[in-house]
Amino acid sequence: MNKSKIGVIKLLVILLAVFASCEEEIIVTPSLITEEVIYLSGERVRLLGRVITTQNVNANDHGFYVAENEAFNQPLIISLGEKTTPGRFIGETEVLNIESTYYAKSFINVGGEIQFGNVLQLTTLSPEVQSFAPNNGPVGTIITLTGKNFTSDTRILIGDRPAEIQRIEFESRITAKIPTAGTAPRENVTVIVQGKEIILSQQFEYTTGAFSKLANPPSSIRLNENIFFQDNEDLYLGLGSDGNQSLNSKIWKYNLGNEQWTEASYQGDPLWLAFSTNNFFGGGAKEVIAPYVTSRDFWKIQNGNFEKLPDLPFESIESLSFETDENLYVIGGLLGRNTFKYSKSSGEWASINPIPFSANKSDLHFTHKNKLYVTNSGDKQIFLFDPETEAWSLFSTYPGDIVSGSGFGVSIGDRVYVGMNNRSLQVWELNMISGNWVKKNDFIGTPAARNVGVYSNAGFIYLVRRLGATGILEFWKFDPNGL
Amino acid sequence: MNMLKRLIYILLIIPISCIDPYKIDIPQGAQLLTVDGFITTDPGPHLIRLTRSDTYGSVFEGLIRPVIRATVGIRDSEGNVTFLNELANDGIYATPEGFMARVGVSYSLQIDLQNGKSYTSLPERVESVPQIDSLSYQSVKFNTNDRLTDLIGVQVFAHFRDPSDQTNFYYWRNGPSTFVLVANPELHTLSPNHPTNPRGPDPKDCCATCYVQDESRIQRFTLASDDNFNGLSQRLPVLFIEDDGLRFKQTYRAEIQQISVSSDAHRFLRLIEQQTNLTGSVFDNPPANIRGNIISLDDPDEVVLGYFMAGSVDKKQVYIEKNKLEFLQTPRIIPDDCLTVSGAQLSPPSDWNP
Repeated sequence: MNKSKIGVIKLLVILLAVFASCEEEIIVTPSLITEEVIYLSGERVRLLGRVITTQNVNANDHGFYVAENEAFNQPLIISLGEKTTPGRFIGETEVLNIESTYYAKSFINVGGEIQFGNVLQLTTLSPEVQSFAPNNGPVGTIITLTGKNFTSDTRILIGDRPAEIQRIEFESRITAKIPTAGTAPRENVTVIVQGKEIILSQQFEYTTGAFSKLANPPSSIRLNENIFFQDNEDLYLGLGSDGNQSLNSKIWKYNLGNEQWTEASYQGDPLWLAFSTNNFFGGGAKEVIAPYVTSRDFWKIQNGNFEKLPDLPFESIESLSFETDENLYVIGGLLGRNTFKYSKSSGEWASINPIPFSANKSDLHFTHKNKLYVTNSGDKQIFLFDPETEAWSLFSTYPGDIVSGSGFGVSIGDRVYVGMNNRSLQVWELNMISGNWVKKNDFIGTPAARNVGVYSNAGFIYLVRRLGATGILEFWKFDPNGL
Repeated sequence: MNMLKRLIYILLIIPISCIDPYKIDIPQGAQLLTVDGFITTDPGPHLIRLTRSDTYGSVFEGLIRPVIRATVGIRDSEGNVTFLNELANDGIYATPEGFMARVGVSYSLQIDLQNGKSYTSLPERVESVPQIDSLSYQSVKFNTNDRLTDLIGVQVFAHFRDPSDQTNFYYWRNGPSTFVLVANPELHTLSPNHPTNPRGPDPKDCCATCYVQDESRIQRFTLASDDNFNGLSQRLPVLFIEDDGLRFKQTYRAEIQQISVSSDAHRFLRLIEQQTNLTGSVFDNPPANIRGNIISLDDPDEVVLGYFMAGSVDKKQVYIEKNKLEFLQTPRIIPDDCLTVSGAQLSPPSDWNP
């Protein structure tokens, strides 16, 4: 054989061996998918992407592009850093604008070459407020707003004052602290989300009720278990005891105009635990200590003068009393649950339906539109007495503290204000139209006192309070709508 | 020489008889957050249970502890969040009254833990579920490893028509079931310690029949997808109720819930089914942690167990009568008043209508 031919064959065999042993490296291009939007709110989006490949990726960076245009000009880049293995990845951003359309796509940067996934379109959601509670309370009340798609810059205004936002949970529940009050008790609640103002249909009502202390009555006036009544701007109180064991035979008058305390011209006997209305008083006892020596004295008050009427046909100690245009009613007391009606026109007394539970004048009670409302101290239930039918019926339940007696109840317009039993600072407002109870600001003085005189004038309530066992009197003015 | 041989044998035996115990160092398992939650189109309350897993071992090795005082919410695709209330510091959070999932809406679970960590689930879209047209049942008997005892019970079948215009993933589970508990108060005997007549007859006048809710510790379920029957009417076995000698003495009422779930939830349940059916044979799938759809927002690599599911549900009840069953287990005798059985009551449920 020709040597050259053998050489060629050898060369071919060698080349064949060389090329046959070289395995070409297969480069697999990973597939990149922008799978779905797994969370979308007003400002936040979470995107799910996936790298599908059979081998490691060794990417320098991966993540998402988000932009307001499909061309992805000036995109927001969610960079998740290096990625070596295939699989899912999640990116999040929370700097989007509400109610805006965006485009998003996943990316992967391998060796400087950026590969993109498919494009998803998304529209950020609108914020909405559904409710808030409580809708009333004092300064510093923590309110909770529920809604959806709140952003991190959400602000809440009460009137024009910002409430301190304490927490935003899942972009849908905000807790905030009510700021100091403005000039009005009821204020609009405004929620501002990325500049979008949402004014709630429901207003926030500040707890109102301002107490101011007036000059004390003269120290010579010391009272307990007394009577009180009112004739326009003249406020009367007296009789009862002096706080010790001595009866008091005097009645004093305070004039709201000249702010002077003077002694009224009462010439009758002292009465202890007598009943009183603005036009009548009577009954009670002639001695401070038990056993009671009852009095049947019965007096009419007219223009600051006192006229003695025929004696009561019954005994009465610490009875409740109220009057309508036609009648005076004397109810219950320490001697039983009997109820008596006095006709102003005929001067006749009649016995009517007894009160369904034991009550006396220290139990929380008030009158409104010629009807009497009395609280059963045992269960806080308020019973209504309707003079038209002379029947008692359950009306409501007092939400405040009863503790012990001597609270006050005053009706002004369609609202009734009750509270401040002995050792209780609470005052409550009852809307007689809606039946809603709203707590007022607490009394700012000492709770260990009893109301010995309660009056109202020009929308204000005046309270004379006896401090503990000392018998010293304080004089307070309460503005139910004061801030 | 003989002495030497004996000594050698003895020396050989000593080391052979000594066994060193082999200690396996089981690595301390991580306390993984575990989420178990399911919401449906039924009125709630729907329950989400949060626990922490622990190392597998002896009884006191690791205790599964509830995750308490978390803030848990269910967010829909419109941004509405429903906050759940923790029932009693036991890691179980309940949806408020009136909450129910809506078909066509996606839901995700949001969790904020006390330690500041946040978790979310991938969204689960609620797809409609076809109605159960009817339920039927059949008495069945299987051989068991014990040659003397067969497994006897009732197989319940669901009849429904699969819609052709959508891919359906089905999940059936049993709802609250009730049966008539038949007792024999006339066979009641005195206590063995009775001073005069131990074990003597002491028949009671009441009560022979009561109603009891079947409390099963294990939630039985069946899965199917419509790959093989898309658009066709189906009769599928969805529940097996074992005859324990008490259930089928008179009437048993079974409730079947037919639920549509997402494909991912179906895959998760299928893996759960595989894991719970491990028998220890060489043909079993290897045991493994099944990844769910809960993600840590602070650490994407954190392993979170469990799955948050959302689905629409259709329910139906079937009354299984004893006289229609071919196979019955040997009846168990309760020689006492049936009211002595826990949970038994004399009056049937208000909707009992066999």
